[in-house]
Amino acid sequence: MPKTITIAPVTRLEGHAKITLQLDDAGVVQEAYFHITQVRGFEKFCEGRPYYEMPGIMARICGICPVSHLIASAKACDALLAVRIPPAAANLRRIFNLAQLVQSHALSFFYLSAPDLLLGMDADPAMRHILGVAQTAPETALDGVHLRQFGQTVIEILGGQRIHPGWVVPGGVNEPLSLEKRDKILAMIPEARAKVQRTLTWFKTATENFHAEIEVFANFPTLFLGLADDDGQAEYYDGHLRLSDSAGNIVASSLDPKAYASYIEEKIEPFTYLKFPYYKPLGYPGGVYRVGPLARLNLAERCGTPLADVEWRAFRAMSNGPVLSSFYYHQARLVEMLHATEKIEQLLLDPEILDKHVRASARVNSNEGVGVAEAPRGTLMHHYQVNDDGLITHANLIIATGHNNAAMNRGVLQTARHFVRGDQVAEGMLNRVEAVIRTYDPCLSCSTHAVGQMPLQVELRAPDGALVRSLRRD
Amino acid sequence: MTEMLLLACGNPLRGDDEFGLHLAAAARERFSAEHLRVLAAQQWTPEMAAEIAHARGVVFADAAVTSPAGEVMLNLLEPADGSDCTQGLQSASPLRASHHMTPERLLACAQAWYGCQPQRAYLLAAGAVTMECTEELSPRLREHALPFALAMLERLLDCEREIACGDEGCEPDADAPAAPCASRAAGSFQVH
Repeated sequence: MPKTITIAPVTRLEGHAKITLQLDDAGVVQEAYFHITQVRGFEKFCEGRPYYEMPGIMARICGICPVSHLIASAKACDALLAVRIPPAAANLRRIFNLAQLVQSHALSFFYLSAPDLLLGMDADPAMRHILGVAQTAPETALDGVHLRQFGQTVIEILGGQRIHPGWVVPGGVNEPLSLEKRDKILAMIPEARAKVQRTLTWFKTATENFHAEIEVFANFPTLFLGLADDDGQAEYYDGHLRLSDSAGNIVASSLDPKAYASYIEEKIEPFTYLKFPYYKPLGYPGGVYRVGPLARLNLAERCGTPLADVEWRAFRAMSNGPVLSSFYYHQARLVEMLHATEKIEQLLLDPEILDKHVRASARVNSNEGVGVAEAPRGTLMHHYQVNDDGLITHANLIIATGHNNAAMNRGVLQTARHFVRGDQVAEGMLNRVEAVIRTYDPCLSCSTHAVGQMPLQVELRAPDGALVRSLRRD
Repeated sequence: MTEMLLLACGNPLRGDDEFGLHLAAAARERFSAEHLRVLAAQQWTPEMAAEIAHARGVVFADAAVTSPAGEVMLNLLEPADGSDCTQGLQSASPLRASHHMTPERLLACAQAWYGCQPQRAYLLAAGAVTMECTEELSPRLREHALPFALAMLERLLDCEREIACGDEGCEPDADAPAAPCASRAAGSFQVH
């Protein structure tokens, strides 16, 4: 008799979700669904608010990556003002964004996924957390704790507080960097960098224990999307959107982020509140793409800093074309953390970073603005429309986790088909189904931000599982 | 080593839950950073163990739902056993370990991970009147509990300075106000 396995809640990710696996009579997984069961309301309840409140409001979408929303929102507001922000302000925002990337990646890698990587996928669930990791591998755990603290401290130094800082504003930032603060951050970098390097060395050997997971953790062809500069170098704050296929061919090299709506469409499915974006010219599902660390390293022609470039080359050498297995999001995350420590240092050593001119002022000069930046989990888009008084009339957000939604669902199905058999469902098998989701480090609080018309389906099933009645609202 | 650390937590959008954050803001104005490092966040998280480990003393500041509304509590916390900072997680929720830590677990992590913990640790908390969605403290906490807690914190810092002076064999400051010893500073106080 067909059977359904439900994993709820899915653990060690940001937000709330469940997974449904549908088995056939033989206990083989036929379908898998990754349901995002929470809903937010940011796009709707910001309507009517003045544009200058948006960075502060949007940062509240998330407690893990508020800086990413702050930056994308402020960039959208820059576009409403039609200003070019001072160079020092742009570089200070870059540093802020990279510090956010370090603390968020550290949370994902060390706190959420290291329990699987270090203790094993079949370890006691009660010990699969950072404190459990600290008991087994204290050096690795403390490196993670330190790296998260490093990123948070840089954010605190620049923005005044670790969570929901308000330093980034439309037109720039609201305070220049002092020499004292610069030197304080610079002094922390060598230790942070050494810890990332040590973790990278360990991770590359640890992958030997995960051949099966590497093989089936969302290991399939998709497109890859992310920001890059004019030379194809990885870019986290600005630049063009770049799209490559699973063979490494560049499908589009310089997409204008502001025109995202002309080439990205969002599909709606009834089983989840999270939409499924895809590259419109290739349709659905041909236009499904992945974003985030794996995509960024697959797309880029280099990271642009010496140590990270060495690791990037080693990463890309693992495959003839792009690295397709989502298991390698973990390694990509570490390479990006290494790059971040180098890039922050480069930017801070430029004397111009201390320039006092850090904010451009203007009134609203455009009724529409789009801000795009790379958040830790991938490309983040904020799009606002305002009336002549600067009040928001429409907002649309596409969040990194949303971009990855289709790939996450396919990854769950691929992993479940390999590891789950209906007649012998061990906890470790189901943990692997969760773990494939964790590779993407989804932030579900960020990604379910719409209210209004929500896809909702209620199914009534007979005891034998047959569908009696289906109620649906689109 | 940091002299003293005030580690405050709370949600700035949930009424009296932000008591700790208000106390942190007031403490930043009242005391020099040299004597009191102030760290405020929505939640206590594992990485704060590093800050704690390197402080002479730590004061955790929070709102309490288990105390009578308006009551200010100052409790001296037991030194943590750092041999197992996961103790109790099996029966509680291991999922929360990444996002939320209790003062006791943070002290245990400081001991387990860094081999040290503050000589004394306190929990300074005020009983919440309301935690409805607002950015304001209730009048009772704003007008009575907050100034009382700030005064209590000041006495505590004086006391810690006196003890530190004794530890290091220095001469006490003749102009400093008389301060109670640490154990006498701890307790529960009803504020009206």
